[in-house]
Amino acid sequence: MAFIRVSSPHLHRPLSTHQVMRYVILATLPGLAALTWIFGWGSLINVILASAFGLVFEATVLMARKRNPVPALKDNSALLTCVLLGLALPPLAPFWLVLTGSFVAIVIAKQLYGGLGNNPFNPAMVAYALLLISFPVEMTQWIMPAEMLNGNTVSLSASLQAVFAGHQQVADAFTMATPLDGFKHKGELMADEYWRLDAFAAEKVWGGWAFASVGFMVGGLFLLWKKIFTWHIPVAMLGSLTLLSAMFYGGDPSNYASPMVHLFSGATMLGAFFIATDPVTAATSNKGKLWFGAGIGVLIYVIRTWGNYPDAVAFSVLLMNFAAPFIDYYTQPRSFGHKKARKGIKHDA
Amino acid sequence: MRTTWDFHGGIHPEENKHQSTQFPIVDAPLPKKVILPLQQHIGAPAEPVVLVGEKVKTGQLIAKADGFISANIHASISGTVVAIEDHAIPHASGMTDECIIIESDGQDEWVALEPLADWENASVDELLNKIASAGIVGMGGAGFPTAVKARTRERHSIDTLVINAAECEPYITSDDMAMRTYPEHVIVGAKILCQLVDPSSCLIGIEDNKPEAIKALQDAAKGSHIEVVVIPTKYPSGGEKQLIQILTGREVPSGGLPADIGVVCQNVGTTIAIYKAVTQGEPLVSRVTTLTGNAFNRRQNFTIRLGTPINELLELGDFNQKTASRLLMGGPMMGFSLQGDELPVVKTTNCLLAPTHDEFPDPELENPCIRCGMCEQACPAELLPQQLHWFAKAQEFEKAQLFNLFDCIECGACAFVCPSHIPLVQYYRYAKAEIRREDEEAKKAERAKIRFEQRQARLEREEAEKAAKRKARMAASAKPKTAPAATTAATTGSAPALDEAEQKKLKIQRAAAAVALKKAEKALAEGKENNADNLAELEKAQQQAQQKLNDIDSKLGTAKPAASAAPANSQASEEHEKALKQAKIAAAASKAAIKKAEKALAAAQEAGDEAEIKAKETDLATAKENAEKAADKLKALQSAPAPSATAPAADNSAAIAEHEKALKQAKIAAAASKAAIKKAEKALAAAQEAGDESDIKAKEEAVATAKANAEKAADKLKALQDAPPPAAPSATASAADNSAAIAEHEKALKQAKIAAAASKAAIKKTEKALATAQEAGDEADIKAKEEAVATAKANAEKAAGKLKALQDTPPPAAPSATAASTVDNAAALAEQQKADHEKALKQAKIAAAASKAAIKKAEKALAAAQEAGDEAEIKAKEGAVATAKANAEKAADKLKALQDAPPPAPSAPTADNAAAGAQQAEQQKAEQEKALKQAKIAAAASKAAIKKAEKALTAAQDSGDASEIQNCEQALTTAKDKAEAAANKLADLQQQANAAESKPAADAEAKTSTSAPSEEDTAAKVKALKQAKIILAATRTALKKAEKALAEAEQGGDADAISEQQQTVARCQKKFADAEQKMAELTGDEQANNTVSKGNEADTASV
Repeated sequence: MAFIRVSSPHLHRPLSTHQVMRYVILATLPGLAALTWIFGWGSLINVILASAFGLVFEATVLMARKRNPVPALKDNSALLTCVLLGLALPPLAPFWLVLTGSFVAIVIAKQLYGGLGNNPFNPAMVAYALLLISFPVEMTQWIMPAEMLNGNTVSLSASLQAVFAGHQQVADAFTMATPLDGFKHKGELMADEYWRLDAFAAEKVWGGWAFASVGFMVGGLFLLWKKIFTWHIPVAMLGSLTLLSAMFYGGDPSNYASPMVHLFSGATMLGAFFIATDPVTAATSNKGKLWFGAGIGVLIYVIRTWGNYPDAVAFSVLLMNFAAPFIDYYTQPRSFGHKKARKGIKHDA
Repeated sequence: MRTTWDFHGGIHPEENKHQSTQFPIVDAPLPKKVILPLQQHIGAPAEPVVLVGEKVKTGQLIAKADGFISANIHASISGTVVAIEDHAIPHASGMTDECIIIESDGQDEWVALEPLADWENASVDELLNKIASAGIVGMGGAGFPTAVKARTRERHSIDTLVINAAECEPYITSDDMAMRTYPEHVIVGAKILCQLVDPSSCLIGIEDNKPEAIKALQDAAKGSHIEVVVIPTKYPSGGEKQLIQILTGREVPSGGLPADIGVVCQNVGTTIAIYKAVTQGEPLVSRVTTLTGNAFNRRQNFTIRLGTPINELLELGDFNQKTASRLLMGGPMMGFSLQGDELPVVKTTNCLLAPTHDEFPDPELENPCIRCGMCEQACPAELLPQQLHWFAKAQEFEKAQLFNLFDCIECGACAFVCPSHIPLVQYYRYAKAEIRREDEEAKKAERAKIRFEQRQARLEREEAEKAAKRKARMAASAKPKTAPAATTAATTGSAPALDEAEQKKLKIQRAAAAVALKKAEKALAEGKENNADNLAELEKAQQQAQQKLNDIDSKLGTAKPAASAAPANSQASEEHEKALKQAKIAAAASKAAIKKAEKALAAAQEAGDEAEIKAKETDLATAKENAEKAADKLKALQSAPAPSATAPAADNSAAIAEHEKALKQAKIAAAASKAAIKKAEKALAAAQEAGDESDIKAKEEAVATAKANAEKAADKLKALQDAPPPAAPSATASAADNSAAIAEHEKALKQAKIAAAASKAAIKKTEKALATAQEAGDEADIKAKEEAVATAKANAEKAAGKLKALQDTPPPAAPSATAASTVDNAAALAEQQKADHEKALKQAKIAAAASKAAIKKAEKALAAAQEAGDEAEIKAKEGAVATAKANAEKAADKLKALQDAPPPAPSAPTADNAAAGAQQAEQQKAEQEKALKQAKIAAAASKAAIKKAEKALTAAQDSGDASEIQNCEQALTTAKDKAEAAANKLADLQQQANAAESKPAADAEAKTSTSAPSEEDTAAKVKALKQAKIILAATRTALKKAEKALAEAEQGGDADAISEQQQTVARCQKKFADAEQKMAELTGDEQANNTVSKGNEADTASV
């Protein structure tokens, strides 16, 4: 009698990569729903378009690389990347912007580096940063919340027109700066003056953003509970951002935005739970994840406050992606039976 | 309640233990046979103490522990030992190992057991002996000899004894059921261990998923100091380090032992075995094993005799092969899959798991790692598994080690949680194995280095001792010599002293000229290497230098006769001897230098330093060159007619003595070279035993060189033996004073020879340089060197041509002698001619030998190239071999022609002198005998070559190198071909000799003028026939060779090569056909002739 030979262990937990990815995609749904609720069909159209483009690009590149595209398409990783990209792009962005973003994310940032697991930079953020630099106008026109439009979001047909036909007047009619953008460009106004300037708009807009942020936070907490990722990165990132903004806000509330503004506007929550936690490009050890997350938080605050961009999640994440291998070398855990953790790649003296 | 600690990570796989706990432990039926591996434990395998065919009883010792860490093996059934042989053993690698196989007699007759009834009062040694002799090892999985572990108290202070009853692996319930069934045994066993280890506390760690066992143990432990500690269920809490941390909060240091932190840990199954061994005297012959997994219809624990074949257990468990996905020994996390059912149960077999496909589906496809870090959260050793995975995959083993790869306990928790289904543990095993292998190699290299250094020191010491001895000997021999020299100097006056001074001057000049020549040669070589445009100039300079050297040489030569002309003959001969001695010393010194250089080279090769090897090789080459020069000089001196002999030949006994001396020396040299071969072969054998590849090669080379040297020595000896003692010709030629002319001619010849030798040496040197360049792989360098070789060869050809021309021109002395001498001295003339002929023959032989050596060399180079696998190189070398062979054929042809050519003597006789005819016949006979002898030698040599080739082939086959084997096979076939040719020739010669033997008698009787010409005719025909035969044989071998080459080319599939070989075959076939035709013609002629001669005979008879 002969039997097949398999090396141990022979048992396996019933959780696979594609399931992990599916959990993360599912966890974006509250955020996506909130965005759609507040800003209309734009985000949903973004997500669907980006996903479709992304899957086509993934399959094409894999075939060009002479690999079977089916397992890669099944692992949901390309889908997740494109969903995140679609969520990050402004609603009613022209379709070519989404197309370009999907191409950059899947073909350049992911597959050219060797595909899943081998990309050093977060693909969605590479695409976002590239679009932001190349098409700053399109990338900073964010649609008005529904409440500002008397409770009516832009209709689906108008949205599709804006996306595909490029009816700029539709976009112009309904878009405005994001709260962070507005605050950034408040000029000589004091903070409270800025908020008072258009109290209604400020309240509504900020309220809308906060609502969407909460949606993403809910999804993120669900993933934490499911142990898809550990708490280290989100907590460290949000913690450092809170700490810094509180420090400066406490010192000079008239010139600096409050921690609440930083936490619940822009892409902070999306970044903390869905972007920074991308395991492929993050630091690996628990200690390393803390440093990684904290670094992102600090960079977000620095760029938002003193840099040229109103939001900075993409740049912060990319900069920390650079640092991840270095962080990994210096944040090895203390292994069982060792007196202390090793730091760096060198032999003990 | 005792506080417990937690360990990092861990997982919670489905336990699946209930399946096998429904029924109590049952004794499995006695196996029909048992297979007992000699190594069921960590450490050295046990040594069998029974013989095949011996009857054994259950519990009888059949294999004894061998060494400190080892364990006894006992017969687990009574019966007959049927085999002690390699058998498949349960091991992750599926390997085989030596096992004792016992066939049951069905009686299960036990040996008398000797329990230690009063164990509580027994000494530690008594208990340890009992445990050790019972062959108890850790039953949890590792199988470390228990007695050794229990002895740790001798070196460590132990405060805690931990009994591992966690049994954290899913499915396995053997410990659980054993604890439920024999809780007292566990407790007593633990108490015995306590007596041995003497800890302050004894803790039994048990997972909370075994409530029945916990209850039973707690009841049994009541009233003792043994504490049952219930710990939360989490895999791998049963890992020794993890359990110790849970129970004591201490971490076993990395690379350390539990004893380092005052803990000894034993498996609960081991305590039961200890109980049985001590209180009942029962050695370890059985164990409790779980049969579980849904492919078993009967899932239960059994007490199973060790060595029981798995197939009997499959039957016992009602195994369903159709549903089984695999068969595991051990649990699902750390157990290994078995390749078959012919394996035995061993001391560490706690579970046999046969899951169905539903339970354990086939492993899923490995996906790329997404660094999710789930493995890190699960790792109980707090490693970074995904980083280790990346390092192992990239073969960055050093980094893997820095990330504490060796702290991995291979529990499999990381792979269990990996969402990408990466077989992480497999990667770690691979990395660990690679690192261990590298370490092993590094250690081996270190050992070799130390060995080499020691050897080097010893050799140096020996060399120093030898040098001291030599010095002492020289000092001793110098004393008596000075005295006679002084006396002769006193008696002979100042004339020879003057001569001596002049000679010295000449010698100095010669040395200067030699240096100049060398310089010029070097410049020329460099120029060639650098493709300088002043090559012609350089060549001219070199030639001038050579000319100058030759001039001085000739002067020096004439100076010697001048010295010999001095009245004091003895003085001259002494001078000659002195020169000889000096030359000999120089030769010996150069040989020593070669040896030293070879040793240094071998050392360098051992050390493996490329640059060093090259440097040493060049050193060796120079040393060899020097040696050759010295040898040449020595030869020249030895062959130079001793001045005393050429001087008025009152008595030529001195010359004969000289000749004999030379002979003796040559014999000694031959003997020494044989000894050198033996030594080299011994060294080779030693190297082969040691298994050092590079060493073997070096030694083989040394053997080859030694053999070549021996051949040279043998040639020289033969030459000396063949050469008529100098006294004889000088005596016969004394009438006419043509010796001076002859000497002149000989001198020219000698110079030509020296030039030829020098050019050969140059070829050798350049070839060596080429070889080193090829080794170094520098293309440009190789080309330059190849050019240098070509020029050297051209030079050699020139020199050879010159030599041939000189050799072909009749020595001036001969004609002058015939002219001057009174004509009736035919005998002297004939002798002279005969000598000439012999000389030519000898030269031809040397040329043939040289060409053979060249072939050998070329073949060696070819083999080296084939080993290196450089296609272009191989082709080039093949070409070189072909040219060498062609040259050899030419040389052989010439030799043959010379041998076949009627010795000149017969043509000389002017009158039909019967006496001369008889002499001539005798001479012919002698010639034939000599030829026969040579042919025999050649045949023997070819046989030896075959043997050698066969040996090389077997060696190659042993080593398994395909290209090497092919080479050797080729060499073998060539050797066989040669042998065939040699045998053919020998047969021909013998036939001829027989014919010749019968001929003289007939001749003597016939003595008629009519028979003489016909006889000559037939002799010529026979000769022609012989030649035809030889040509036929040669063409046949050539054809065979070509056909073989064609077959090979066809195998190789290279169209160009095939067509080329086909052409060659066609050519060979044509040649063969021609030869056959000629042969047929000749045989037809002969037959016709035969009838004619018969007719003649009839005529004479009628007359």
